[in-house]
Amino acid sequence: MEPTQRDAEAMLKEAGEIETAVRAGAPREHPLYVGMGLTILLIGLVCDLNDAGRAASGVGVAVALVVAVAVTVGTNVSYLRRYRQVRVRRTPKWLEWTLGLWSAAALFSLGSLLDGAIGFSFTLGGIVGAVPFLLWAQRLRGTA
Amino acid sequence: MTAHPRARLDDLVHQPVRFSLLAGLAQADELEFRFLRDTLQISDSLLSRQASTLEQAGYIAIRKGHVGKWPRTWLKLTPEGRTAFNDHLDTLREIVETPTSAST
Repeated sequence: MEPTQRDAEAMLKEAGEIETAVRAGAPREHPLYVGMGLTILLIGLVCDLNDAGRAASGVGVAVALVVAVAVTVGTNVSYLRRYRQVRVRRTPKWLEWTLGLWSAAALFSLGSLLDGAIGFSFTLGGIVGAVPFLLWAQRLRGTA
Repeated sequence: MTAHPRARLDDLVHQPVRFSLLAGLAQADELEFRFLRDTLQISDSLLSRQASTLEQAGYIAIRKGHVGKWPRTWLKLTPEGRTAFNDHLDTLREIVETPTSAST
């Protein structure tokens, strides 16, 4: 089977079209990391509101928890639905672990250290913990 | 005199369905059988046959599993398959860029 120049061009075009189709079906990772960042921030907020211990704070805790669960479920379900068919991961495992450890350390270290010194210390810890997730999400989005 | 690039084409990769299959697999870690079938617009039996041929050649790996209670099959490119496919693409590009090959 010897291809002419035109055959070779057609095959390269076909490969390009399939590449586009597979990329279109691939799961989008950036919403996952935006969701994680938001969830960490909300966990910080929940810790602060829980410390306040008033009735209004209880409502705030409930709302923040519902939003955190909804964001986590919403982003993960849509990701996993696509991931079952097209398995592709652009985030290395070591980075996932680093982001997770950083967010936990920022949330609880800053929260505990600044607790009493400033208001909403855990929320501040959540914001610091969420920033790397959001930066990575932005990078994934930019290179998609 | 150097050989024409077409002499380096891998017949196993050059077959249209197998070439398309490898082109799809080159873009992901693993692809599910039904996704590939629908993307390539071919029948189950044709995809199954060509996938077996590539598996026997060591170009792809086939993994069977379950999603819930439903059986599913995933296909992935092996390092040998990726090398063969990339070499094939390079050769095709070379053919396209070789002016004298127009009438061959």
